[in-house]
Amino acid sequence: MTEPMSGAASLQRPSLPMKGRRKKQTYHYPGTAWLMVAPAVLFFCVFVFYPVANAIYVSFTSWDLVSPPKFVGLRNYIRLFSDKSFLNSALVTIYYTLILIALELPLALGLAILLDRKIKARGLYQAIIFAPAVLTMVAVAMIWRVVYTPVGGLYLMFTEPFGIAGLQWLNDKDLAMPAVLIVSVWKNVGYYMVIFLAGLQAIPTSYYEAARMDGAGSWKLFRHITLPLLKPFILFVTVVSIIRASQAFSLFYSLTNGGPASATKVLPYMIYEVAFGFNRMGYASAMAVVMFGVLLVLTAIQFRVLRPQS
Amino acid sequence: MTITASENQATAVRRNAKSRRRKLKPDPQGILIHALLIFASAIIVSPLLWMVVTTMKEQQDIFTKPLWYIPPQPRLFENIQHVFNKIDFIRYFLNSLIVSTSITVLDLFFSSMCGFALAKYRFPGRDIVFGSIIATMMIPFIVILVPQYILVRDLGWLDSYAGLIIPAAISSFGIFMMRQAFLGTPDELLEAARIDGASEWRILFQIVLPMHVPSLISLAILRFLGEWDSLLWPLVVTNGENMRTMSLGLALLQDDRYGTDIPMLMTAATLALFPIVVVYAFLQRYFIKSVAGSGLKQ
Amino acid sequence: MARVEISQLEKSYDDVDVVRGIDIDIPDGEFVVLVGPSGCGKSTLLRMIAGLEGITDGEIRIDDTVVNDIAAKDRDIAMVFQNYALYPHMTVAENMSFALKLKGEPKPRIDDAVKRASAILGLDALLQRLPKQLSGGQRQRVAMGRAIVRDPKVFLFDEPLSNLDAKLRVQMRSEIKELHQRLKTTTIYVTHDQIEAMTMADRIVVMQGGVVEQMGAPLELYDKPANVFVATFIGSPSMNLYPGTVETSEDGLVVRTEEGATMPLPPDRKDLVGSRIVYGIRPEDIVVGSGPGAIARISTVEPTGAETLLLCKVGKVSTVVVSRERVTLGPGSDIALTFPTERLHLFDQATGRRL
Ligand SMILES: Nc1ncnc2c1ncn2[C@@H]1O[C@H](COP(=O)(O)OP(=O)(O)OP(=O)(O)O)[C@@H](O)[C@H]1O
Ligand SMILES: [Mg+2]
Repeated sequence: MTEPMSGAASLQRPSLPMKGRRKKQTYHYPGTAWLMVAPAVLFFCVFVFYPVANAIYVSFTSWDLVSPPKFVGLRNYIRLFSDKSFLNSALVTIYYTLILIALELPLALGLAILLDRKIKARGLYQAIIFAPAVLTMVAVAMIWRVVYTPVGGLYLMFTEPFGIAGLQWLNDKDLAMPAVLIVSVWKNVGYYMVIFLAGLQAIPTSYYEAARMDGAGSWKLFRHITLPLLKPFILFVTVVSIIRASQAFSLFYSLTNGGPASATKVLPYMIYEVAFGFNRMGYASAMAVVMFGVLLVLTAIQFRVLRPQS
Repeated sequence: MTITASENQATAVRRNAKSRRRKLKPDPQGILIHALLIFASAIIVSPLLWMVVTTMKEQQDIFTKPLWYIPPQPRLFENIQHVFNKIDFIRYFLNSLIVSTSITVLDLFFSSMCGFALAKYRFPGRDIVFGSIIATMMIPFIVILVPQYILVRDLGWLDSYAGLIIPAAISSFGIFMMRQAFLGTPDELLEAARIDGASEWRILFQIVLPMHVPSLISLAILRFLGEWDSLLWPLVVTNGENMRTMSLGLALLQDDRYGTDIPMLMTAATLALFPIVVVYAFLQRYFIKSVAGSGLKQ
Repeated sequence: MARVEISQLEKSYDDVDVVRGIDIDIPDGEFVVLVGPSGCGKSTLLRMIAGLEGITDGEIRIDDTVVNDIAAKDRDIAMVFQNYALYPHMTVAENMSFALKLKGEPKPRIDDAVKRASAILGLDALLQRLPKQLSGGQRQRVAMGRAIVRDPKVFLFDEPLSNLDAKLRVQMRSEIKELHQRLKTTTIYVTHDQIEAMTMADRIVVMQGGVVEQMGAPLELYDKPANVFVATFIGSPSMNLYPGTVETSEDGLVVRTEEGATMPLPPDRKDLVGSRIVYGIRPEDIVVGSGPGAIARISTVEPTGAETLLLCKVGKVSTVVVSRERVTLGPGSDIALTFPTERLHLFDQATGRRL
C-alpha cells in the first residue's frame, strides 16, 4: 500500500539536547521498600551471616565455652582428616543419603504415577500415604523403636512368615542403618510423591494424546514424555532430599542415638555430640564447615549435571 | 443435523455399553493399581494402628500376647495417667504451641513484608538483598548451630521463649515463597490503590495480602509443621523442664534407661500425634497443596 | 473541574528519553485523546499526570497548582486501567467506595456517592458481586464507577476498551462519551485506535517518539495534518503519498514521481516549482472516472458493503481508492482516477512538514 512512500518521507527529527539539570525521580518508594526489607535484612545479618562468619572463626580455635577461645590455626582441620570417627561419620552420612534417595525417589515416583489417573478413592490413598510427612519425627521414632522390639515388635508381622524372628534391629550394627532407612522412607515417601504428582499433573494430556496417536506404548510414553518433562521436578526433589537427608538429626537422636558402635552416627549427630557433649566448639565447627563446603560443591554439581538442556 | 444427532446417540449408546461392561468386569490393570495402593497404604497405616492398639495393653502383653491383641479391659486410661505422672505433657504441648505459633506468625508477617518489597519495588540494593537471602537456603542449620548457641547465650536468651522463637523468626524460604506469589500481582492494582489514597503499607496489608491468602496458608502450614518437629535447637537452648517442647519432652522420655514402659511410650506418642492427625484429617487438602506447591512453579 | 497544563515535560529512564518536551494545555471540561503508535510514550505521559511516575523535567499543573511533587492520592484525579485493576477480594460496592473510605468520608455520604454512580452506570444489580463474577464490559463499568464516585478533577483513561470485543467497544465508546457530556469532567484518554480518537475527542493529541506531532480538533487533524506522520496516522485507510518533484508541464503544474507518473497540482502553487515534495491524497477523496488524473490498474477489489476499497497501481506506485459507487471492474482492468486539487495535501520531503 502506501508504506514505502511514507517511509521514504519519514521525519528526521533532531534529537533534543540533553538538559543539564535532572531531577531525582520519585515514586519508587525506596524508603518504604527499605523499611519493609529492613527487619529481614537485620535478622539475616544477626542470625545467619554473623553466625556463619563466626563458625568459620571458631573452627580455627580451640574452645570449651568456659575459657576464652584459643587460636590454633588449621589444627582442627588437619586433625579432622586423620580422625577415624569423623571419617566414619562422613561415610555413614553419605551411605544414608545415597541409599535413602535411591529408595525413596523411585518409590515416590512410582506411587505418583499410580495416582496420576482417575481412580476411586484417589484422594484417600493420597491422604494416607502423605500422612507420615506431617507426623512429629520424635513420636514417629518412638513408634518405630517399639515396632523394632526384638520380641513382640510389629516387624514380626512381615518377617515371621519367612521364619525370621528375634532381630536386634537397633542393637545390631548391620541392621541399625537399614532400620533407620525404613523409617525414613516410610516418613518421606508421601512427601515426595505429592511433589511428583504435582509435576505429573502439570504435563498437558495433549502431549500423551499426540504421542499415543504416533503409536507410542506405555513405556515409550513414560520414557520420552513423562521423564523429560518431569526433569525439573526430579532435580528439585533430588536437591531437597540430599539437603534434608544429610542434615537429618531428630531421627538418629531419638531412634538410635548414633549407635550401635557409631554405625548410625551421621555428621549432624556427631557435630552435636562433639559440641555439646564434649564441649569442643572449635573442632565441631571445623566439621560443620567441611560438611557445608562439600554440600555446596555437591549442589553445584547437581545443577550442572541435571540441568544442561532446558 | 439429524445425522450428527443420531450418530451422537449411537456413540453414546456404545459408550454406555462399554462403561457398563467395565463396571461389571473391572480391568486387570485397575485391580493391580488398587492392590498396590492398598498395600502401600497398609504399610503406612499399620505402625500407627498398632501404636493405638498398644496403648491398651500392659507391658507383659507385648511379649506374651499376639501382635494385635486387645485386652478385654483396655488399660488406656492407666497408661495416660502414667504419661502424665512421668512428664508435664500439657506444659510441653503448650510450649510447642506457643513457640511454633509465634514463629509462624512472625514469619508470615516479616516474610510477606520483605517478599512484597522485593517483588514490587525497585530500590538500591534490591538484588543484593534478594540474592543473599536466597543464598542462605543453602546453609545447613548444623553449621550455625554452635555460633547461634553462643549468640543466644550472650544475649541471655538461653532457656527462654525468646531463645526458642527469635532465631527462627524469619525464613528465607518464606521470603522466597511470598515474593514468588507477589510477582504475579499486576502493578496496576497497586497503582489504582495508590490513586485511591492508600499508603504503601495499606496496599500491602489491605489489597495485596488478602489476595494471597492461599500462599499464606501454605507457608503457615509448612512453617508450623517444621517448627513443631524441631528437636535440635530446643535440645541445645533449653535445659530445664519449663521450656521443654513436645518433641524434646518425648525424646527425653524415651531416653529412660530403666526398662522402657512400652504401652506408656505408645500412649505418649498417641497423645502427641492425636491433635496433628485431627487437624490433618480436616485440612489435608491444604497440607497436600502446600507441599505440592512448594515444588516448582515454572 | 480543572485545567491541566503540561509544559516542557520530559521523562527518561536511565539513558532512554521516553517523553521529550511536551506542552499541552487542557482547558476545564475538555475531552482530550492521546493517540500514537505503540511505545510513543502515551502511557508514560498519562502516568506522570496521575503521579504514578516521576517527572524528569518540566511541569504539570492542575488548576494552577504545580503537582510535580504531589503524591497521586493528593492530586484529586481518577484513573481507569486497561485491565481494570479491580480489587479482586472486594465487592463492586467496596471497590467503588474504597477511595472515599480512605478519605474518611462519613458512611451515608459514601453510600450516596456509590448509589449515584451505580445508577449512572447501571450497576445497581451487581453491587454485591465480586469482580470475578462479572463480564468484561461490567468490569469496565465498575472501573469507571470507581473513578466517578470520587468526583475527581480529572479522569484519566489508559486504553480502557482494548480488552473488549469489537461490538462492546463501540457501545462503551459512546457510553464514555455520554458520561463526559453529563459530568463535564476534564478527561485525558489514551488509545492507539484512531477511530476511538476521532469519535470521542474534543481535541486529539498525536504523539510519536515522545513528542507531540499535532494537536487539534478531530476534523482539523483530518483536514489539515501538520506533517506526513499525522497524515498517515489519522484516517483509515491511510492517506496515499507520492514523493516527487514539482514541475511545469503542458498540463500545468504537476508533481513527477520517482516512477515517472505525473500528478496535477493547483495552479496557485507556482512557488513550489523545483522543490521535492510529498504529494498526498486520501483514498476517499480520489474520484473514479475521467478528469485530470492518472490511469491505474486494479490489483484487488475489497467490497465492504457501503463502500468499495480498490487497491491499484499508478505506474509502479500502490494507491488505495475508496469508492462509494459500486465498482463492476475486476482485477487487471484499468480505471481513470481523478485527484481533486482542492483536496491535496503537500508536504516537504526533507522535513515532512505541511506546505
Ligand atoms: N520502566 C521503564 N524503563 C525503561 N523504559 C521504559 C519503562 N517504561 C516504559 N519504557 C519505555 O518507554 C516507552 C514508552 O512507553 P509507554 O508505555 O508510554 O508507551 P505507550 O505509548 O503507552 O505504548 P502502548 O500503546 O504500547 O501502550 C517505551 O519505549 C518503553 O519501552
Ligand atoms: Mg500504554
